[in-house]
Amino acid sequence: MSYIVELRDVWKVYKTGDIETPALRGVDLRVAKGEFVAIMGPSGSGKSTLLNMIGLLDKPTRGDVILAGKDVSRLSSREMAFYRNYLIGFVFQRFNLIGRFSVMENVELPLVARGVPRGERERMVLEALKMVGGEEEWLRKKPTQLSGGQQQRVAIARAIVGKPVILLADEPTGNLDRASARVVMETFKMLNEKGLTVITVTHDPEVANCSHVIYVIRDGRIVDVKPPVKDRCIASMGVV
Amino acid sequence: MIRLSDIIMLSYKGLTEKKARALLTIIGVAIGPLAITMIYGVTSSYSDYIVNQIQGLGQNLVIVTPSQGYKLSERDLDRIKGLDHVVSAAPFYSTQGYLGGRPTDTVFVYAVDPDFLLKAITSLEVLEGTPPTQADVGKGMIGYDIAYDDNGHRVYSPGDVVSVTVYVSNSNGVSARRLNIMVSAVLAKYGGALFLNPDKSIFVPFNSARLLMGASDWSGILVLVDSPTNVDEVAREISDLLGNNANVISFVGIARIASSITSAVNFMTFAASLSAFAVAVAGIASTMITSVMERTREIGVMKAIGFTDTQVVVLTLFEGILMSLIGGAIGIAGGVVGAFQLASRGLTISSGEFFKVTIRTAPKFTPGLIGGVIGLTILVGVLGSILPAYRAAKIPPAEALRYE
Ligand SMILES: Nc1ncnc2c1ncn2[C@@H]1O[C@H](COP(=O)(O)OP(=O)(O)OP(=O)(O)O)[C@@H](O)[C@H]1O
Ligand SMILES: [Mg+2]
Repeated sequence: MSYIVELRDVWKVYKTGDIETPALRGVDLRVAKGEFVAIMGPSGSGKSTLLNMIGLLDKPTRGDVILAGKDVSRLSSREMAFYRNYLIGFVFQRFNLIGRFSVMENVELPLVARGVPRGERERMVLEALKMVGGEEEWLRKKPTQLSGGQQQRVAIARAIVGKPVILLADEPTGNLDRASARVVMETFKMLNEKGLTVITVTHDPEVANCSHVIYVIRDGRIVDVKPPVKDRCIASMGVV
Repeated sequence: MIRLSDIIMLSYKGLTEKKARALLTIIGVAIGPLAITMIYGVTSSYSDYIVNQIQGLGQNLVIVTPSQGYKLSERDLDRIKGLDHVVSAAPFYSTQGYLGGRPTDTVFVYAVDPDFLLKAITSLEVLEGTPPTQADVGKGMIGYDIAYDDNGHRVYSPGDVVSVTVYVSNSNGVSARRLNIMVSAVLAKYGGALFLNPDKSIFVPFNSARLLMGASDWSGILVLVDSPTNVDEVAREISDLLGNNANVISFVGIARIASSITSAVNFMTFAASLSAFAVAVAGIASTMITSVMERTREIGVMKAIGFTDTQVVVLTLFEGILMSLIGGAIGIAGGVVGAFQLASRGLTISSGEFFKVTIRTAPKFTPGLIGGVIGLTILVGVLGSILPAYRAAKIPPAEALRYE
């Protein structure tokens, strides 16, 4: 079986002056194409660091990261940017939309980096926005004119507009109320059912229960693998 | 690869984020281009004008005028004629006067061998009639603006008599004298009025000065040299010959002085503008470094989304260049307006009583000038934003995303 994401003995040690902080201490992880993975763990356990390794935002101190069969742990920063653009979509806790850009300009940004012509971009942006349940009239608005849940939907649209194969989310519901969190997880489930591989970091068990498998990380090591409790997934529970 | 239209759009959006800050930086950039455009535009039009005028006046001519208290003599004339490269030389007398009973209607009267004059100043042309000979005392050639009034109506024809009152200075002071000169020829319209205004002049044979005006002294000697390349040598030889007794000038020399003054002025303007450009570079650099720092998180997001370090560099550079180009455009526009203002006041050149002219020409903006200013402006933008762009490129995305 081939994996879309494979981590082999990945270490990450941050150096700040003389102080070394080992954030990851030999992580092995395999994610199959189309899988939905949740990562849980206490604060400071290395969840974001792990996501950064998978998302090519940073390089491991030791070990290999293999994406779609290719060892990407020693690429140039240019190649890493290229892989991020084509393979990966990011969703953050704080949305990270650019405030001075319109929703349209935010969502099309990955396509701008790729050099997609304007007309094509508009079509793809609309398609992505529809898929996350967004509305066309948002496009001209500034992100701050939307609610938190709507902003996160825009951020998801931006993450998927370039048709990536992996969606990485770092506490995507951390800043949202229950109803908005539910919409986000419904969207993730739907995207996953369409074939997108989803890896999400979360503190929220009702979010983690929407996945196929839950990894628990502590002190930079994966210490537990648990099956989700399917009927305790926020997306399949009744409206609260 | 990112598209140029998107680079422009994103840079423009970057500028409009902090409008006041961008505007102040832009104004700072505008000063250098403004100064250069304004001053070069004016000086180069002046020097072009002077050089053109001089070329028309005969580049083979050297003019010798006596110093205060010295009288040029036949002996001086013979010695000058004997110099190498001198084709011929002729004394002249010049004065001012007015026509008939109209003292406001100033004319210039030159007494000089007509043959010599037409040979030395090749741009003078006879329109009608025939030039007088040296022996035709009492006859003269008149300029176009004397023969025709402002509306183009004829006032004098060949054969008519012009009555002119001239001022003659000799040992017992200045006196006015009335002359009646018979028009033997009318000169074609000349146009230029620098050093010599032929359209408002009356040229009479040299002997008229003594015989009609009672002027015993010469205003000077005109020397015709065989070729413009020998003018300097001849001028130097005459200076050696007459020492402090005479001033020797050549139109070629004046042209050279005019253009060297122009280059000196331009050089000083350029030097002053360089400091303005240096300040502009610093202004752009501080504005751009501030916005790069403010946008650390945003730059992290853009990199996470797939922008390469190079694309981030290009976007940052472009924002700086855009800012300086807007500043440059404002500066050039202001410089053009300023140059017209400056030029409208005119430039007065005077050298004793013989030369006093005011030049009024439209400023000239060559493609080279405008292109050069735009080039410098782009350089300012690049220099100012190169360090901020490098900083932006070096921002590690993972850390930028943690940045508060
Ligand atoms: N850029 C960095 N430089 C130095 N230390 C870092 C850096 N990033 C993370 N760390 C440290 O590495 C460890 C793991 O951090 P990480 O952000 O991965 O934790 P986390 O599990 O995502 O925590 P949280 O749930 O609070 O987001 C922490 O001790 C953190 O302080
Ligand atoms: Mg984290």
